[in-house]
Amino acid sequence: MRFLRLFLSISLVLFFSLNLLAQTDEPYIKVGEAKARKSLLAFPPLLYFGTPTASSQYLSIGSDLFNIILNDLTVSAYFQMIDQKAYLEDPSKTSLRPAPGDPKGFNFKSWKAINADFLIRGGFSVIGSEVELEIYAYSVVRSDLVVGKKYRGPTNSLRKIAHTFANDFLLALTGQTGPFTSKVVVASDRGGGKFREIYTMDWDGFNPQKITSHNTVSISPSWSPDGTKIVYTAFVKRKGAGRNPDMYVYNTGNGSRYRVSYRQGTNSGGSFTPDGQNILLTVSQNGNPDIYRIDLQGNIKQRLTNGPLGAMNVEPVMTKDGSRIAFSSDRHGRPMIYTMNADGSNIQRRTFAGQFNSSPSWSPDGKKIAFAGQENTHFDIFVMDADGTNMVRLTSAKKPNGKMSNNEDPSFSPCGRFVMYTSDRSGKNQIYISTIDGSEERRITMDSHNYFKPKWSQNFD
Amino acid sequence: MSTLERSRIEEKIVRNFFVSIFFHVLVIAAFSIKFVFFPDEAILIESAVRVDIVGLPEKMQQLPPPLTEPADATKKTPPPSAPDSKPSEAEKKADSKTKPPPEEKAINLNKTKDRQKQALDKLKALDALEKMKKEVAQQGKSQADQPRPVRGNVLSAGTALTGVNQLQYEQYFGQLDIHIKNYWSLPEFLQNRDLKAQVRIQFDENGFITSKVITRSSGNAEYDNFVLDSIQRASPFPAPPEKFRDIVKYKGVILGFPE
Repeated sequence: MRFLRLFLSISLVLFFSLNLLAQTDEPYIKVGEAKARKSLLAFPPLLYFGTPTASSQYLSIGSDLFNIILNDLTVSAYFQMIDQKAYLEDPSKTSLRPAPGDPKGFNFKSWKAINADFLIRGGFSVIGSEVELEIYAYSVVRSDLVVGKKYRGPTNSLRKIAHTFANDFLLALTGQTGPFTSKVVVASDRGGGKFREIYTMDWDGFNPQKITSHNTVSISPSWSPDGTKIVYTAFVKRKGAGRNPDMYVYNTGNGSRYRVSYRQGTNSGGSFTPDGQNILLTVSQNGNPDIYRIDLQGNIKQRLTNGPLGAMNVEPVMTKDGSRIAFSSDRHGRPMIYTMNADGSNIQRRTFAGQFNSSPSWSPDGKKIAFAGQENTHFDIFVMDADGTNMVRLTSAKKPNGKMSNNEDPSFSPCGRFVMYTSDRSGKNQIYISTIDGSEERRITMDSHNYFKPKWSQNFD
Repeated sequence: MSTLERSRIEEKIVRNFFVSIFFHVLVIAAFSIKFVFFPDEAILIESAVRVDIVGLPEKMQQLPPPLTEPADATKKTPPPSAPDSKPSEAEKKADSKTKPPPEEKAINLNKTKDRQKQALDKLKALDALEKMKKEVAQQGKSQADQPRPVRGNVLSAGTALTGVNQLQYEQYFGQLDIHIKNYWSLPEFLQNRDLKAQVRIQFDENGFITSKVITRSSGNAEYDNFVLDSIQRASPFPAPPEKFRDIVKYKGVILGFPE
């Protein structure tokens, strides 16, 4: 009894004294997301390291290099350019490296004085049929070098040189490379007439290359993950029969092509799996348009959807990690975006609003889906999380006749920061890109042809 | 009762007691065994109602307006100047009362009495309001203790605040939160990189920073620099009320960028 009392009293004392000893926590404030601002970039024109008698041809090479890099860095949405009139130092009188290391070098102070965050100093020279670019990007705030490189290549590859530097600068700055050496594959009527053929071009619309001459309507092209093949559908004539949408694979290396799927009915919406060994597509031979996986020889490996009840299941795309597939289906009445596992299980509906949701595109990290959604009069591009939440509308534009324009067929950039799509706001279907929050939109193609279903490739080294 | 009967009754009681204990233990054992070896299936709690987006969202046309500081809540609202005008009204009514025309004397008297009564009521209400305000102000003053440095294992006031204390705590630290948010900015190229840093700041009674120390670095030196720079630009902070001066001066506040 006495022991019990003793025990109880000791434990009580301990209990209260522990309370006394307990320190309370300091006030804790979660400051939350920062307000983002662009960094100020000073980018003076490139110096010419050649003989004093520089021909206008050489100077145009320099201005091309300069303009391509300038455009790439502006599109990256990280920078705001400082007007050349604001420079305190004359860049043509200082070298590319800083003083005092270089006796004729530039002074960081004169760039700090105009509040520059970054400074790029570059120079080029032409040696025979080759061009060499020597270029340094500095952090003015820290007075040190971010990246400095020399690039050399044939003069006709100067666009690629400029794009490569822009990628390298972003990689050194943010840890993630830019999308500037990537390409676009798209169907277009720029060849004239009623035909649509498949073209590839640089991400900025330059260097269009025609890769089909079927003299028919060719549609929905798509890249293989390594960029060596393009799969597309063409309405080709059958011997003795009419036209059928057959699927082709084109080899960009040697220009060869073969028909990978020519089943009766539709063979459309082809997209490669991340390992490049299989193609997802919609085939309607067995009644419903359903999604199948075939190998590169065209053999069906797996049927992934089955209706239900005559529903159409189209436009399959797989995540980069090969885990899930997004597609469009009208099984609940109107076409909506669905996701499923790579083996066809666990089909989940992701969109519930609008009249017609189609052409899904995965972000490279598999966390977001972009799609085109129709509400009443027109289509707009939307980006949502992979589970359907946090939906954001990217586009909203008017045509010259006052009606709302159609924005369709979104495709994510390889870095995941931009979405490419077509818009008819100028009167014709042109290619545009936008940051994924919709804050910055830019027009890519500047002509009066029509473009359909562009797909953004990986960076080409 | 004889001792024999008593002892027999006692025996019975003891025996019944042990029987009861036995059955109690049996029940407890049965439930323990069931709980350990045959657990129920976990009950899946799912919302019964799914709320969907019923319309596609609009395009955001512009960025939300920058956060502005709320009006300084520690300022007292100036007492209404109405009491000044009231006495003059009462005077006027008194005047009118003293010179009523003879025929309407009775009616006027009633009216003026009513008006007087209304005016007096209003005066009383205003008086009462002013008294309440004075009481609250005095209450605030009397609660301030002599500032004591909080060091080591000392009994401190704790944060189990209720009532006015809790309101004041939330109000001041909410103000601080909004103030700091205004100065927290990053260049675009450091955004979206899952960088997190924590800083402990200490500041004096006027809000000027006395110390800022990174307690958890983000791993990126530039990010840490921008964090410290934002804090320095935000100084001086809103001055802390007396009761919080010790906390912010000696214990400090932990800021998470972004959390």
